[in-house]
Amino acid sequence: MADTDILRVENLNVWFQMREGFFKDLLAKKQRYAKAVDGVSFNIKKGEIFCLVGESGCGKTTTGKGILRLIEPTSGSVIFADEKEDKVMGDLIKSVEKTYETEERIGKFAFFGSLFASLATIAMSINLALTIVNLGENELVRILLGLACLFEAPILFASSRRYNRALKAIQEKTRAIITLEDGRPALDVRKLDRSELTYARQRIQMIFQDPYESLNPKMTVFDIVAEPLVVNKICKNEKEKEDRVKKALNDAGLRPPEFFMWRYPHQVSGGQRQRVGIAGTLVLDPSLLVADEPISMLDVSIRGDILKLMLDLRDKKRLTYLFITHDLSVAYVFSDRIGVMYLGRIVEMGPTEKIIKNPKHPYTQALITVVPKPDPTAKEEKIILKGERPDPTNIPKGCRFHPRCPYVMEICEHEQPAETEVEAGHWAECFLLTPEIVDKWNKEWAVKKEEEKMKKITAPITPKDKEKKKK
Amino acid sequence: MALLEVSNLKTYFTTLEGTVQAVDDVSFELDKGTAMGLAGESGCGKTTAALSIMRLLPSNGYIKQGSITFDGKNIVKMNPVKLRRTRWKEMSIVFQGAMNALNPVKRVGDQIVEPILLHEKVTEATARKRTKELFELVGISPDRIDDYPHEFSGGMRQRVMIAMALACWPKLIIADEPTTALDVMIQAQIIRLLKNLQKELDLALIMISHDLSVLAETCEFLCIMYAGKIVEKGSSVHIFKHPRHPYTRGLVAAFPNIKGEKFMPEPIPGNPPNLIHPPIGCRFSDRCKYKQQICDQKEPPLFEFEPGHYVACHLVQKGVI
Repeated sequence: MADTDILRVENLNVWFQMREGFFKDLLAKKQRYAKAVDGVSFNIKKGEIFCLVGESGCGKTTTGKGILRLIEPTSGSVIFADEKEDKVMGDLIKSVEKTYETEERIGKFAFFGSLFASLATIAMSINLALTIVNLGENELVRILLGLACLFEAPILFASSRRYNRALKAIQEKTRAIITLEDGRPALDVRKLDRSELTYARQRIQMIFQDPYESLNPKMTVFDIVAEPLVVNKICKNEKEKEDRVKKALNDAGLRPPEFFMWRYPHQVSGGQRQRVGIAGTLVLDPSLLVADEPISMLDVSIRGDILKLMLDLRDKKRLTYLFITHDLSVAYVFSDRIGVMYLGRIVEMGPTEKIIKNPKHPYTQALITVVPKPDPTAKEEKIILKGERPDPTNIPKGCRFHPRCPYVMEICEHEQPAETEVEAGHWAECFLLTPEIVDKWNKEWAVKKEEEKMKKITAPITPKDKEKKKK
Repeated sequence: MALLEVSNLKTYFTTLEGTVQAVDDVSFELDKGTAMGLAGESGCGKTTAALSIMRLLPSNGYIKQGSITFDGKNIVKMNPVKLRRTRWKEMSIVFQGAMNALNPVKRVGDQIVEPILLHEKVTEATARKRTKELFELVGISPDRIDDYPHEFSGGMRQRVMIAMALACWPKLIIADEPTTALDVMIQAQIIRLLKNLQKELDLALIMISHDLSVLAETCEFLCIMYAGKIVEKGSSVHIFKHPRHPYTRGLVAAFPNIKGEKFMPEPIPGNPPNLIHPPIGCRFSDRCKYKQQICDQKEPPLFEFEPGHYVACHLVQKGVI
C-alpha cells in the first residue's frame, strides 16, 4: 500500500468575492474575485511528505485550509481515500447511507403528501360545487371555493419541490462516496455536509503555525488535547478520554504525560507548545496531517526536534504530511516531493532532489538562490526578484509570473504556459521548456501583427483620428 | 581606536522572582565601517545588549557594571541631555518587528522628519528634502512620504525603518532582527540593501539575529551569545568553517544548507538555564554532550584559540575537543 494515493486535489479553486460598496457592486459588469487558489492539482501518496512552498500570500495556507474545508473552496474536488479496513471510514459510509434512507423517506412522504393534498382539495371543491348548485347563490361559499383552489397550487408546488430536493440530495450523497480504481472507497470531501465532515476531519487534521497563539491560554494541556474528542463525541467515559489523551501526549514526546497534563500553555516552553498542538491532532488518530509552517515560529535549536518527531510519527503511525512552508531549505531536508506555488498556482512540482538541484521554473530558481546559506565564503549570484508579493485580485494575463520574470518573452504576456514534463514526475509551467511552441507562436504572432498593421494603413482615416494626431 | 568598545558589560533586570542576569560580562569592539553579528537563541540577551548600548533599557533594567565607549565617550556615565543628543544622531537602531514599530496615525515622512528637526538646526523644508533623499536611498519612491504606514507592505515598512535610522547620518546602526518577520524574497532584498548602505555610507553595523545563515551573508565578525555570555567570537569565516564551542557547533548544525548535503537539522537538546540563578560553571554544561567535571565547577574564560578567534570552553582550551 506504499504507493497508493491518500489525497487527490483536482483543480481546486478558492476565490474570495470582493466587495466595493453596494452601488458599485450593482453597477459592476463583472463580479471581481481575489483568486487565492486558482486551479491547484496534486496528489499525495500514503506515507509521503509533500511540501508546498512559496512566498507569503501565494495561497499555500489557503490550499491547506481548503482541503479541510476550513475555508470553503469555490470549485474543484478533494478526494480522500484511506486504507480499506478503516473504522471511521466505515462509520461515515454508514452514516451517509442512513441520511440517504431518511431523505428517501422524506421524499416519498412529500410526494404522497402532495398527491393526497391535491386529491383532497379537488374532492372538496367538487363537493362544494355540488353544494352551491343545490343551495343557489351563496357568496361565502364561492369565496371559500376560490380560496381552496388558490391554496391547492402552492401546496402541490411546495411538496414537489421538497421531493425534488430529496432526490437531488440522494444523488449528491451517493456521489460523495466514490470507489477508486483499486477498489478503495474514497470520500469527495467537498460534497459532505457538516455532520459528515466531522468524520472526514478525524482523518485529516491540521497543525497550526504559531504555537503561541493557537493554544487557548485558559485551558490546560489536557483540555486542549481532549477537545477534539469532546467535539466529535468519541469517548464514552472519562477514563477512555484520559487514556487517549495520555497516549497522544506520549506519542508527541511529552513524557511522562502526567507531568504536562495539568499545566497551562504558558507553563511549557515553545517547543513543548508545538508538541501539545501535535498531540491535539494525534488524539483522533488521523492518517493525513496538514502542517502549516509548524516550525517557523520556533527557535532554531528546537526546530530539528519537531521535524524529527514528525518523521518518527510518520514511521510509527503511518502518517502522511502535507507540509506548508516558505523555507526551501527546510523543505529540502524534510520532504519527499515539492510543489512550488506562485500566486495561487503550482508552477513547478517534482521530487525534492530534482527541484532543488535542477530547478526549471525561473521562480523556483530565484527562490533557491535567495535562501540564506550558512556559509560566509559562498559566492553565488542571487536572483532577487523586484517588487513585493503579487496581488491575487489582479492576476496578470498570460503567465502569471511574467511581470517579475528575468527571462520574460513576448509569448509570456499573452499565453498561459502548460504543464511541461521535464523528467518523470517533474514538471513546470514555463515556456522556456518548450522552445518549439514559442517559435511557432512567435511566427503566428508576427503574421497577426503584420495583418493588424496593414489594416491600420488601409483603414480610412476618420475625423477622430485626425483630431488625435493634432493633439 | 575602535568606534565602539563594550567591556565587561553586565545588564541586570529586577523582577519579582529575583535579579535576572540577562547580559553578564560581555565584551566586544567594533571598528568603523564593519558589520558584526550577534547571534543566539531567543532569551540569550542579544537584544538587551543592544538596548544597553543605546541606553534604552526598560525601567526595571540597569547596567550593573562595565563600560560602553562610543567614539571616545562613555555612554554608561553620560547624562541624559548629552545622551539624547548622541542617540540617533551618532547611533541609531532599527527595531525588531518593523510591522509595528511605526506610528500608525502619523505620516511616514513626518516620522522621519521629526528626528532630523530635533537633532539638527534645519528648516522643515530641508528636512523633508532629506527625507526624500533617504527614501530614494532605501528604494522607495520619494512621492510616497505622505503615506500612512498601513499603505506600505511589510518589506516597505522595514525600508522606512531603515531610512529613519539613517535620518541623521549616524556612524553606528543596530539592526535588531531586521528580517525575521519577512518573506525570503523580501529578506534577500533587505539584506542586500543593508549591505550596500553599509558599504556606501561606511557604517558600523550590529546585526542581531537568531538566523545564523542571514548573519553569514552580512557580517564579517560574529559573536555567539548563550545565556547572557559570549561563548565564541571571531570572523564569520572562522566560526562557520571551524566552530569550536559545542554550542556554536550545535547552532551551525541546526541550519540545513540548500547547497550542501541533505541532512536533518540537529537539535540541541534541553533548555537554556534560568538566568536568575545561573549555574556556577559553564552555562551550557547541562546541554553539552562533551561535558566533564570541570565544566560544572569553574566558569570558562574567553581565550584566544587562534588570532582573532575567541572561545569560552574548558575543553577547547585543554585541547580535548
